[in-house]
Amino acid sequence: MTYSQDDWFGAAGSSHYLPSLVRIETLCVTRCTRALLTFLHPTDGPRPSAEDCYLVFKILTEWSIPAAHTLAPDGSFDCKVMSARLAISILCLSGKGTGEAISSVIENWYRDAGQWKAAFEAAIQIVVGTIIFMLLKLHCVSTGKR
Amino acid sequence: MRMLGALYTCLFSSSDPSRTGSVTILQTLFQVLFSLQGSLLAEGDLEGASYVLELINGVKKIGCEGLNASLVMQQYGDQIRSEADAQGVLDCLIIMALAACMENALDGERRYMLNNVMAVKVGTNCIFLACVK
Repeated sequence: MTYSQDDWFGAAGSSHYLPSLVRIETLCVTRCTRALLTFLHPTDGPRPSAEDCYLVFKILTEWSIPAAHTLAPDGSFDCKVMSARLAISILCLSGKGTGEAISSVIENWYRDAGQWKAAFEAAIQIVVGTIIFMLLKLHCVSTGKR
Repeated sequence: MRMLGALYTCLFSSSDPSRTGSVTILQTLFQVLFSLQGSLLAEGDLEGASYVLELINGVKKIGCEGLNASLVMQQYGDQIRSEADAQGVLDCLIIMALAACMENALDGERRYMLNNVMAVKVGTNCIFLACVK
């Protein structure tokens, strides 16, 4: 079964993205997605189970991404970047089945709009930036330089 | 249970709905109630958890009825024009409260918060199943 982009975004659960509530809805998506990222990468305690990853995946694909797509067609990319980071995290953590489903979702984004590409690029820049910073820090620690 | 009873009286005995009309108060209430319910469920206290669920539903009801539109406008810059808007704001406050709970919850309680997010925002349509068919 194939889904068109419109079907995919139209299938978002209970979402009624009211035009009058753009700011609070956008903030809501951003905060929740950030919390889910923390949930997937806890600083202490065990890592989330496969079932947890699947629940996060469902929230991501059925709410976060469609909501971010509808709510922020331009302007702030915060909620899109957070959704993209969450998608990348799930790809890293979860099994093959979920990975393939997410890959098809990502393909749809790339096919559809430059803004999703931009959001992903921004997410990748954040990740790459973090890695460069960590390497730099490690280099400075090992050489004793500031 | 006595403390929960006192909380119930405190929340619902007042005839003044503006007490819970503030978005900050509502979000704080949802956050503490979801957190408390998660702790009770983790301890296996189903009776207490069920009572807290009643409190949560009560806060949802009075929150939707008494939501202060001017405070929503002031805090978020969004305008409430209809009952659907008020319900939408309430859903957002619940999700933001659950997000805050999830960040601070213990391991055993996080799954419960996750399920609550699912219940509020994810409907019966399952895109994952549709994609893999």
